[in-house]
Amino acid sequence: MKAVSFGQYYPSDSILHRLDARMKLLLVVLYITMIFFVQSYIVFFAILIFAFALVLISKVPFLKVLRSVRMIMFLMIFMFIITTLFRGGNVGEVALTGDLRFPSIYLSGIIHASHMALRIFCLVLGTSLLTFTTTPVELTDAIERAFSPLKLIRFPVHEMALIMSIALRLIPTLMEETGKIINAQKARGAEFESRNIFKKAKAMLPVLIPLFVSSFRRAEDLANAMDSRCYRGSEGRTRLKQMRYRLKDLIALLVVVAIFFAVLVFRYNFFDFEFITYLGETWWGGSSDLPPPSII
Amino acid sequence: MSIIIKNLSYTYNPKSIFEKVALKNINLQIENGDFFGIIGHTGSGKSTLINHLNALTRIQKGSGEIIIQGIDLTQKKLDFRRLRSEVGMVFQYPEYQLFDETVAKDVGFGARNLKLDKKEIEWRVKEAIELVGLNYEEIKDRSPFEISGGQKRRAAIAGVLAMRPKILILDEPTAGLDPRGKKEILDLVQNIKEKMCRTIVMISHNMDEIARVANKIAVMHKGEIVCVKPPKELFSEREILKKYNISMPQATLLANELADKGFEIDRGIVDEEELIEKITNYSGQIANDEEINLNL
Ligand SMILES: Nc1ncnc2c1ncn2[C@@H]1O[C@H](COP(=O)(O)OP(=O)(O)O)[C@@H](O)[C@H]1O
Ligand SMILES: [Mg+2]
Repeated sequence: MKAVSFGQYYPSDSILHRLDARMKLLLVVLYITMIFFVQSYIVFFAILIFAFALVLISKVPFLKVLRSVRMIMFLMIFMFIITTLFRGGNVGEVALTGDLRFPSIYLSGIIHASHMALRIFCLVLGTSLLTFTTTPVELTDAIERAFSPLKLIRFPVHEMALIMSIALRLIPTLMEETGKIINAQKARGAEFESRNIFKKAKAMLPVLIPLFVSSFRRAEDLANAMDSRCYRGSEGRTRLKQMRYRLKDLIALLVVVAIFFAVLVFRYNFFDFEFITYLGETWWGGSSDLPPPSII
Repeated sequence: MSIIIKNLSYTYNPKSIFEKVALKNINLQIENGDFFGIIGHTGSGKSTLINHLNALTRIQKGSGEIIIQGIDLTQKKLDFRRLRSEVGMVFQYPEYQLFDETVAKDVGFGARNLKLDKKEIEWRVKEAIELVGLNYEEIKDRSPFEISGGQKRRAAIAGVLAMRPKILILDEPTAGLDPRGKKEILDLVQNIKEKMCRTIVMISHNMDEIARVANKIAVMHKGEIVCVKPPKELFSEREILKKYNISMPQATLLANELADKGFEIDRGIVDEEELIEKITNYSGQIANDEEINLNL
């Protein structure tokens, strides 16, 4: 069998792989929400340690994870630069660049921008961990379950999930097919390496047209195959793989909820801990909204 | 010498968990005028090997060399246009590469990529379409998507022939056809050899086919070439056939059955006609010799 690695799923037997997909989906949603409550370096640092620990547990090679983060590196850098340049300072803050009209860079701006970049980094790390440890099929199943209450308002949840899983299933097939067609056209002297974007687009036609034709053919075959197996939608349909929550799912939930709670405590200091008040006044423990003198 | 392959190895996705050695130290020489057959089970590396001959797959650094009609395929700045007009490549299910508005335009795609002048292209298209046994006037303005399956395959082969290659490589050209279609395409390939491409390399799963047309057959097994022999020799070597699980052509099977029953018949017969002739001559003898009891 050819190893088609589609998307990101990295086969392994770690505990993260074995968690229930629905639970993982819920945990990632919690995690994402949590990230938006973080607003100091020290808590970001803690979250990063947590996330990297999860990567270790998941047995997915670090390089692979970093590679998936690399794709949004550009976005992070871009947002960092724009935000530092245009955020402006806090009330009464003196710009680092002195009296220059442009650029006027503020320390609080740099802090704010780096928080944003860190937030994106943490988000991508968490979500890619989900896709690394969950097969696309499990994921669509989980999504179908998560949205199944919408069935009450007659939203076609099952059908949407089916469309998703068929699409996911066909992506590797289509990628393989694309490779074959590209090879066949190259053998007929087609060149795809042109720099000129119009030429490039035109060169893709001999690939795209056969690809469309074969997708339609496949769709028709699939529809016929489903028809002849009496497929008729979600009603009364049972599952080959029953999903069940287990103890480990509960434990995972507890861990994430606890961390979420800790993050909230750091943010709002419900119990008036003195050390949190103290941290809040330092540049590395507080947010970028602090008044200027205390930041430095 | 038309094609020389020395110590060729190839690994897919080197240095990753998907690493897969597809070719191991291949040495092969194909001479001008050869009809060279390649057989082997699925996954034995046949396609990977022939993809090298057109530089669709480039030779990995330090893993061997290929010289085709004096062109060294290891060089970095390879003249692809020249190579691809020397070596034509017909992939499996070539009809899936058709894309243009009319058959004539589609067949001319390769020739246009060679940047020939208009007259020459038109002339070559006509020649190629007629060579594959289609009626030029009748078919040239039709859409390649509305002609019959057999015509599509012929048109796709014509698209390669319009580049006038001296060497033609075919990857299972008869796959998915009915017996009659198979025979027609096989006759066509022989006709092409006579009229245009002196050297043919053909992959096939069908022993009857390959035994009938090839003058040499290479057997591939797990990325290696385990032997190269003329069909008659190959199919009379029972050990090799057994070891690599190769079936015999029907004619050879029957000849072997007869030989087992005590008939004096060459076990290596691969050709139906030859077998029929032998049997008819034989029965002439038997008519006079009543000791042998024909027990068929
Ligand atoms: N693009 C690819 N990526 C990874 N492995 C591949 C790829 N193409 C082929 N292989 C592997 O290489 C081996 C040889 O494949 P191939 O040359 O297609 O064999 P054949 O044509 O004889 O069936 C097989 O084990 C196959 O799984
Ligand atoms: Mg193959």
